[in-house]
Amino acid sequence: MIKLNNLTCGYGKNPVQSDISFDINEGDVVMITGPNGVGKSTLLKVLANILYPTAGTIDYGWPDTKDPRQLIGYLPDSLSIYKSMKVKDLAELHWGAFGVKPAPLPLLKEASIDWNSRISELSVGQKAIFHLSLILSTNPKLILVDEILHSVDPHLRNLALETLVKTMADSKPTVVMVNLNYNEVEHLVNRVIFLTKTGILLNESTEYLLENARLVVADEAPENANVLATRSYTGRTEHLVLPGEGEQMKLSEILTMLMGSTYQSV
Amino acid sequence: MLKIDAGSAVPVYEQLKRQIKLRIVSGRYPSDHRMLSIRQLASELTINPNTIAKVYRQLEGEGFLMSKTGSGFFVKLEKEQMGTTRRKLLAELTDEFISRVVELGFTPDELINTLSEKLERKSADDQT
Repeated sequence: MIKLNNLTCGYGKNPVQSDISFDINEGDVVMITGPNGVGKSTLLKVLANILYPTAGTIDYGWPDTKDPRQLIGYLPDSLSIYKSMKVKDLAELHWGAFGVKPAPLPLLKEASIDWNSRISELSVGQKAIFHLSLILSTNPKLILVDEILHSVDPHLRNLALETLVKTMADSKPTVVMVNLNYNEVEHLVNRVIFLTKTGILLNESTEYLLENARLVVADEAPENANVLATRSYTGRTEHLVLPGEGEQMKLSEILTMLMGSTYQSV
Repeated sequence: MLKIDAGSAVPVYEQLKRQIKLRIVSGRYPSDHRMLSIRQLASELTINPNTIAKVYRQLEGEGFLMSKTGSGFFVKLEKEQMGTTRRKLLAELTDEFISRVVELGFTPDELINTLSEKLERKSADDQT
């Protein structure tokens, strides 16, 4: 289990998140989502151990590992990898840094990436696929995926997701993703963390949400139910109750509603 | 290939279980048919592999599938079981249909009349 204890993180004097704590179970597939600017990507960088929190600690639960980065595969939202290098040079550099043996990267062929191309010649999607292949080739225990797949064309995005699912089946890594397209990943994640400026609004298993989150259409918020969010939508007022009685919702609907709502205090 | 109804609020593992059962009782998946591996089906549908594993295990518990160590899941359905399962599925589908019709405010008479009209037309079509 990965434990995040009382983390405060951000750049400079104003932290984007203060004093947040949560655990991630081994093998879980977690989506961190929430409005822009609440520090989702920052939190992912902290989890990736490439940005240190200004307060708090992360316990990865890997007592025998000196540098947790050896076991983490991080796909950032922008790929600032060395543009003038060739694909094969960067791959060798990566394997050297991780101390692993070169492995075949079958994805490259499927994404029409030439071993001798320069990084600068690749499309955004090809860069993402290349980066993902490199990450997976070191067999990480923790895979972190930022929003990057948004900008990848559907064919390559599909390829990336398929590869991710196969990796999940093969080696059961823990996966944390930020804000991917809800419809695409709603059957993939088994836990959702919804961040707002004031902290964690929601940290629940998908199973619990599907069984208990309900939609109520009414001018007044229903009594005797825990109202999580309220929004006006096409001239009517909708409430998300958790738990409560009402219409069943899909995970993507629950999250879309949270994104466009006013929240009850956390 | 098995499909997920993206618009449905029915949990995805329920959808998959239903579809596989239908394929088994309709004979499309005959006895000893080898199911896709968890890895393969999960990646084709972009579903958490644990969900597929849950579906297969539940179907195994209900006597539709059997697992063979190291080689995956296979369809297993005794002939005697077929009749009961078919009737159970029909009852389930009918219950679902009726509750939707009731939700829309139709009366039992309206439903019965529409049903018999449709069925008559269908049998006439089938004969020509």
